[in-house]
Amino acid sequence: MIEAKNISKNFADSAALTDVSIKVKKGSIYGLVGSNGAGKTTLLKILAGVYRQDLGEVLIDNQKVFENIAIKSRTVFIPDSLYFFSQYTVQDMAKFYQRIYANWNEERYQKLKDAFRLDEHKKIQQMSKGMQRQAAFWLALSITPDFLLLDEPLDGLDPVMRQKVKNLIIQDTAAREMTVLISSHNLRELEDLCDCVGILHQGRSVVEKDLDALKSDIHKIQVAFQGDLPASIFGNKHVLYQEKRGSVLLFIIRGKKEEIIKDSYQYQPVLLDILPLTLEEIFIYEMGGIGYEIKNIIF
Amino acid sequence: MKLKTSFFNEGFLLNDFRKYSWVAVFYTLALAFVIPINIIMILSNEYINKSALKDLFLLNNQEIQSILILSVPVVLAMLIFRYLQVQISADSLHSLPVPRSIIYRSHILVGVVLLILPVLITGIIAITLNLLLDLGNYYSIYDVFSWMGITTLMNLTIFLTCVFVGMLVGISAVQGVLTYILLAFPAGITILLTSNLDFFVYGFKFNLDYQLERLSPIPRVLHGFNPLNERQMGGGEIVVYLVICLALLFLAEYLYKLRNLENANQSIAFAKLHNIFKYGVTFCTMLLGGLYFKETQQTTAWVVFGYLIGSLTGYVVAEIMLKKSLGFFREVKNFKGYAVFGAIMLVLILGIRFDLTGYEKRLPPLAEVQQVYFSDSFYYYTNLEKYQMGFFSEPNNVQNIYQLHQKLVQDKNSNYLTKSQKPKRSAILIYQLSDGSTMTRGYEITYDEYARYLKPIYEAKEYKQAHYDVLQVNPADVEKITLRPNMRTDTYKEAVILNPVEIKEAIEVMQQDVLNKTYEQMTEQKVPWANVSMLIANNKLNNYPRLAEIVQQHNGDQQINATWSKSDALLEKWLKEKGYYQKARILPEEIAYVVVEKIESREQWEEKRKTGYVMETGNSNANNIERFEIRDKSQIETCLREYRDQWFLDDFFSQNTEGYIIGFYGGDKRNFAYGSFAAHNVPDFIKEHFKD
Repeated sequence: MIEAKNISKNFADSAALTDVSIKVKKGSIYGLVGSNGAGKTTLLKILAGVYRQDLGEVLIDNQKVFENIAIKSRTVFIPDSLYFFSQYTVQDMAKFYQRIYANWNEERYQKLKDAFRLDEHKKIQQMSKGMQRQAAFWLALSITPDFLLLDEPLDGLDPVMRQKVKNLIIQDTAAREMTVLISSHNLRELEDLCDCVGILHQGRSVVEKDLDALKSDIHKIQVAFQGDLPASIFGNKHVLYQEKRGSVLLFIIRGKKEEIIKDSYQYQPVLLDILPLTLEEIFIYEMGGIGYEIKNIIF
Repeated sequence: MKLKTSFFNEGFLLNDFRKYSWVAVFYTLALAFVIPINIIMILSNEYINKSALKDLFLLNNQEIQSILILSVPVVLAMLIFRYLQVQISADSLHSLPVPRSIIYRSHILVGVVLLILPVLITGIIAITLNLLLDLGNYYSIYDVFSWMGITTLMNLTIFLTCVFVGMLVGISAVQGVLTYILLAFPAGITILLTSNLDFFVYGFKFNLDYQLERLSPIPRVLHGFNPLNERQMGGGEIVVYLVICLALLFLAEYLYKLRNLENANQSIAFAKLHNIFKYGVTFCTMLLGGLYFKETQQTTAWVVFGYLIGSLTGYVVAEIMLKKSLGFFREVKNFKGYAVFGAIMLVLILGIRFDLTGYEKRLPPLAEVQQVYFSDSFYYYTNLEKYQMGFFSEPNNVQNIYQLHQKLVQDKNSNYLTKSQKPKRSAILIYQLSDGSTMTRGYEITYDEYARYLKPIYEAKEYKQAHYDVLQVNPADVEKITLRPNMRTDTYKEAVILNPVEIKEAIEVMQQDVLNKTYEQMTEQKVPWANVSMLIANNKLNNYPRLAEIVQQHNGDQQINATWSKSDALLEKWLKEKGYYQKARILPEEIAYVVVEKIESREQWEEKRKTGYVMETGNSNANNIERFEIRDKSQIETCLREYRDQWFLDDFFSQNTEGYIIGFYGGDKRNFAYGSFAAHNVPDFIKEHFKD
């Protein structure tokens, strides 16, 4: 489990994080979403034991992270700007990591060679940005970490590679109960990957939600009735949003799908349509006011 | 986990060696050129300078070696810790499961090994060469070991200083610059403070002799470790350097752990140090500005201007460095700190200027003075062990010096910051008090003006014993005395005394002459008749430690030198009696004629010097300067007895007195020497001649 409790962090004269808390369950993939400058990178670096928080507590497996070698050797952090030693090939870096991480898995490294199809003997700094990111994943996954912290990991990868990386992450999570924290400025990118999503905005955590629960819980319905709208149609349900388009009514409602359908049929609608909600729509409606404010930035 | 991995990290070690070994390779090659190849080059010369090989290991005039010591460790430290100053690498490497202390130690180990190996390899080659080519006469194995030790110690000091600075700053370039500033700082701040106090406080003088080497490794390394220049590295100094190294090592590790990595790219990585840095820079540049205008203008107004300009520049530069932008000019409130600084400095400077502590008027209680050093420089005080001179302990002498000091304190207005026609010299007074403390004062004065006070001091036996070597000579130790006339004529001549009885008499006579000398005779500055060399017997050298050292180190003459001054009447009489007189001095008969010219102004003197006055005096067709040729032997004798060195003309004109230049010529118009007359020592017949 990765846990940040009430983290605050100031840089020189500006606050980067204010009272941020997140919780990543073991074996889950957590998406940390926020616009540029929201504090994602800072939070990740604090979780990785690179920066020190000013206030609050950072725990992995219920242990403090900073300078905790036992925890750090089970954790891999891939920053948004990758760093490789100059003149080093993938193989050189592999040897370096082998000496640093006790749980380096050579077998895995050899196996992943086929997945990535990178030239092991090519100097990493001469590779393209996308290839460098693949190399970083290759090395990271060869360490077989229990905790994987990824800062904007899919940037610069082509769709095929993106999918491949996602699959590898999902595989490891499933197979070894790896816990993954992944940041992105794009919620859509994480839709098919994460179990849980947290949104950071201007250094504060805005919302944290379990995706499965979210998706099954919130619905968009279009209905039309002959005559006026019955006043208490969804009386006992939580209506997040409603809109009238001519004679068609649009509702965003939280609740069980079957119950909503049942409720609607009581009034014999001429039209009843349950539409899929995208993840972004869910978040916008969930967050209410602030949702509209940050809509254009994140989604 | 294995032991080695718990103190160092194998991954970081190997990685560093792979990345930075080239520095050691470069250093080894450079040292190979400077030492082993140089040895072979020197040996292949036809004439081998005996000390040339030893000099290599003493860093005596070894600029390349010194520059290597001052640069290689800094470059290496900047390279090895470069990752800390770059955000990407700092973040990346510190996410690895290696504690900061182990990362730090691993890097340090690599740096130390890479600095030691080249020196070790070079040393081994030098020792091998010594053994193979039998070079024991030129340098010893011990020399090589001592070279390895000193070089390594200095390398490590500079390396660790740079590492330490690297922990404080967030930009590699700043790290490099601040390293050198920090290395020079103890010496620099001493110079700045003392020379500024020197200006504001009448009587303040600080003894800087050898201090710079003692205070900073930079001049230490540049000036070398030659024991002949008193620059050998003593045990105490080694311990101090080791302690500094260890302190830097642990302090840097502590700062590493404390450092926030996000501060890469900041000039100063610790916010708490920003003010120290800012006002430290402001203070130093203030002093520097003051010093500059003190040296060039010598007036209070200019020095204060220098303080203003210097401090403002420093403040602005420090702010720009810290904020990394010029934006702060826009807001007046950013200068609030400067205003406060200025106010504090104003109070401080006024306090010093008006002598609130009573420093300028303070004299030690006479009863507590055990002895007092009095000289025109700190030289003999600094080299006290070598010369054993400068101190006065006779109560009478102490009192006389004390009176001189009282007078100097009274004369503040006439001595302090005044420009004098006559050249000023330093007067240094160092009291040793009965409680073991010392009190030092120094003044710039015109000695002539204090003749009344100086006379009893100069005429005291203590003073003479320190200043006239002949008083220390035991006649029994002397094998030979040679008197060589100061003016060379066509034929070489010298008087040699070999008879032990005569040697004894001569020395006793000379000693008596010295003891009889008056202050006026001691300061008359006439050119002496002859130089007197007393050859000390080999087995007696140990009675003269200073001489023994010179002989041993420079293969110098084992002679004690004295002069036969014009005022040494007893020696003159004795030489006449014994028949050495004719050979010991220049005689009027050897001079065909003398030419005297009157020089009336400084311009004329400058002009003469420019156009080569050396020719002009002998040339009858010189410009319209009046020329007085003297052929009368008794007048020539008077000239010989009275003339002073030609360079005194400089002094005459700075005092606006007229002077005469004199040239002595042989039969073929060959010039033997030039000299001068001025003021009271102009012979009457010359004055008479130029009267109209």
